Amino acid sequence: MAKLSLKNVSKTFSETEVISGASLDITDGEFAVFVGPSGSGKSTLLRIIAGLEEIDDGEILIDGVDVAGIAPAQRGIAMVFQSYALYPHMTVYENLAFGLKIAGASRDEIELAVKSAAETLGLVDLLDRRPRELSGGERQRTAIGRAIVRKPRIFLFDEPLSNLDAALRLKMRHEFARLHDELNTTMIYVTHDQAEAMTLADRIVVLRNGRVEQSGPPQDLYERPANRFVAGFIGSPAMNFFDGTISEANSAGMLVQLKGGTKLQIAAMCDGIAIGANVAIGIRPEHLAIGREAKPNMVDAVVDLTEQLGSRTLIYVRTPHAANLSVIEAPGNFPVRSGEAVQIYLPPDKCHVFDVDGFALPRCPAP
Amino acid sequence: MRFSAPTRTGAAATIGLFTIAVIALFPLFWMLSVSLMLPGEASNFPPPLLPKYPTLTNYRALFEQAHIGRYFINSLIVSSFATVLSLSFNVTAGYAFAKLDFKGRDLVFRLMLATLVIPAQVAMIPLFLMLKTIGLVNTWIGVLIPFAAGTFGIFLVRQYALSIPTEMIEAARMEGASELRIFRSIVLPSLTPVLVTLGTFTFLAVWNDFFWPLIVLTDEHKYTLPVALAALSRQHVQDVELMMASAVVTIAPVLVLFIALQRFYIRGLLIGSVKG
Repeated sequence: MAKLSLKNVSKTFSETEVISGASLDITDGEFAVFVGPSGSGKSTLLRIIAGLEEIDDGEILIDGVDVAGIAPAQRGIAMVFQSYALYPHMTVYENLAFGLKIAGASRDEIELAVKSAAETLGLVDLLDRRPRELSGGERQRTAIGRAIVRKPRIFLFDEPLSNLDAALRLKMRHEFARLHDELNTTMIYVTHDQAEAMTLADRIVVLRNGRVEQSGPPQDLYERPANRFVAGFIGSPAMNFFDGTISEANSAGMLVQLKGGTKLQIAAMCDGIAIGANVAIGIRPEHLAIGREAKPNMVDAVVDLTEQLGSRTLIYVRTPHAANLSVIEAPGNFPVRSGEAVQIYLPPDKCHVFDVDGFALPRCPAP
Repeated sequence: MRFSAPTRTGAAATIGLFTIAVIALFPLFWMLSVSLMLPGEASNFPPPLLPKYPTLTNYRALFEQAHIGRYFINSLIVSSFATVLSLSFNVTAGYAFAKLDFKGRDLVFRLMLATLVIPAQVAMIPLFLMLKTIGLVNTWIGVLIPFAAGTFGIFLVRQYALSIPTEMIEAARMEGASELRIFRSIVLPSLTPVLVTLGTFTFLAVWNDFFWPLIVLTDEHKYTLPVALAALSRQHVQDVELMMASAVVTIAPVLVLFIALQRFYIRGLLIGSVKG
C-alpha cells in the first residue's frame, strides 16, 4: 500500500503541453480511476507515475518520497498495459516469473509467488500455455498476475478491459473489484468507460487537456460537478443543458429566463454573478419528468425519438431552449409517441447552474 | 468426364506451374547430371541428358587435384563469420533505430537509407584503399568487413523490430530488466524470423560473392570457392564435367541451407506487410 501525490506535474511533447500542472492525492489502498476524453492525458499521467515518461516540472511523491528521478522498477509500481504486453515466447509461468527472476528471487520463492498469483486469478491450469493459446480474458488475467507476483505498492491499469467483449468486460470488472478488496493495495485505473469508472472507483479523476478538472468520489462528481465539462462527461446519457440568463435572485435561489421567455426557479445561489448574466442550466436525464399540462418550471417540448430499454425508456425531445436534443430517462415502458407535444418538468433542486466560464454556481442548502 | 470451371482453372494452373518448375530446375538437374559424366561426354552432339556410366571421377579430381576442399572450408569460414558479424551489428542497430530513443535517430537513419542508391562497385576502390592503409588486404578480416553491417540489413531488422509492441519492452523495463537483458530475453526471441532471413541472405551473399574476395585476397590459399573456381575454369576451360562438379559443390550447401530455413525465411520477408 502507498500514498501517491502529484504536485504541479507538467509534461510537454515537442512543444505541446500534454500535462499542465496536474496535482492530485491518492490515499493508501484507494482505487482511483482516471477518466477523460481522448487526448486528455490520462494515459500519459499513468505512464508518468510508472516512470515510463519523464516530467518537465513538478513532483511525484510515493509515501512522501519524490520518485521523479527514480527508475520505473525501483518505484514499487506494477503496470498492466492495454495490450497486455505478454512475452509471446514464454509460458504463462515464465511470464509471471520473469520479474522475480530479474529481481534475483530463488526458485522456491518464484514458484510460491507464481502459484499463489495463479490461484488468485484461476490460472493454475494454464501455467504451461503460451499467450497465443489463451483467450482474451486469460491473457488479461496473466497480465494482472505478472503485476501481482511482484507485490507492488501501487498497481497501474491502462484501459485493461478495452480489448474484451461486453460480457467479458463485465466479468473482469467484478474481478478487479474483488482483487482490490483482496489485495487492498492502491490502484490507479485508466478508462474511458463510464460504468467501469463509476462502479470500480473510490475516487474518479476527470482530466481534460492535461488538467485535473475534478477529483472525488463517484457520487460526488455525479451530484456536484465542479464545472460544465465534468457535468457533461460524467453520466450516461449525458446531462442536458439549457442556455439562459439570470433574471432574479430570490430566497429560493434564482430565476433563470430561458431563450423564448420561459422562467425557471433554480435552487442555486448567484454568488458574485450579476443579474442578467448568461448561464447554462444542467439537469440529468433521470431528473426530468414528462407532463402533459403546463405547470411552473416546465418547458414545452416535442418528442423526437424514444428508445425502449426494457427497464427504462429514453425519450429524446426537442425544445426551443436547447440547440441539441434533450434526453429524458423515464422508468419502465413510458407511453409516449414521436411527434407528441409534451411538457418537461425541471425540479428546482435537481438543476445545476454554470456560469459563462463553465464553473458551477453553489447549490442552495437543502431545506 | 466433365469438370467444373474452378477445377479446370486449377488444373491449368497446376500444369502451368509444373512447366515453369521443370524449366527452372532443368539447368540444375543437367548440372548434376553432367558432373557425373566421364570427361568429354557432355561435349558430344547431341549432348546427353544422363551420364552413360555415372562416375564420381570429377569430384575426386576436384578434391584431390584442385584442392577444392580447402576453398570450401575457406568459404564456409568466411560466410559463417560474416553471418555472425552481420547479425550482431545489423540486429543491434536495427533494433536501436526501431525502438530506442536517441537524438538524431531519424536523421541518421534517413542518411543511411540514402546510401542505398550508391552502387556497391563504386565503394569498392575507396574501401580497398582504406583496407590497404590499415593493412587488411589479403586477410579474411578484409573480406569480412564490408559484410559486417549494411543498410539493407539494418533496414530489414528495423522494419521487423517496429512490429514488436513497445509496451512489451516497457513491461520488461518496469520489471527491472536491464536494456541488455530486454534485448536478449525479450527482443531477440521475437526477432527470430528476421534473424533467419538476414542470416540466410548474408550467408548466400558472402558464399556467392566473387568480386570483393578477388580484389582483397592475393594469396591463393585464402581464396574462397567462387574465386578458386574462376581460377580453375581458366585452367580447365574444356573440362565441362569438372566445372559442373565444382558448380554442384558450390551450390549444394546454400541450396540445402535455403530449403532448410525456407519456412522462417519467407515468414521473415512477409511479416510487416500483412497485419496479424
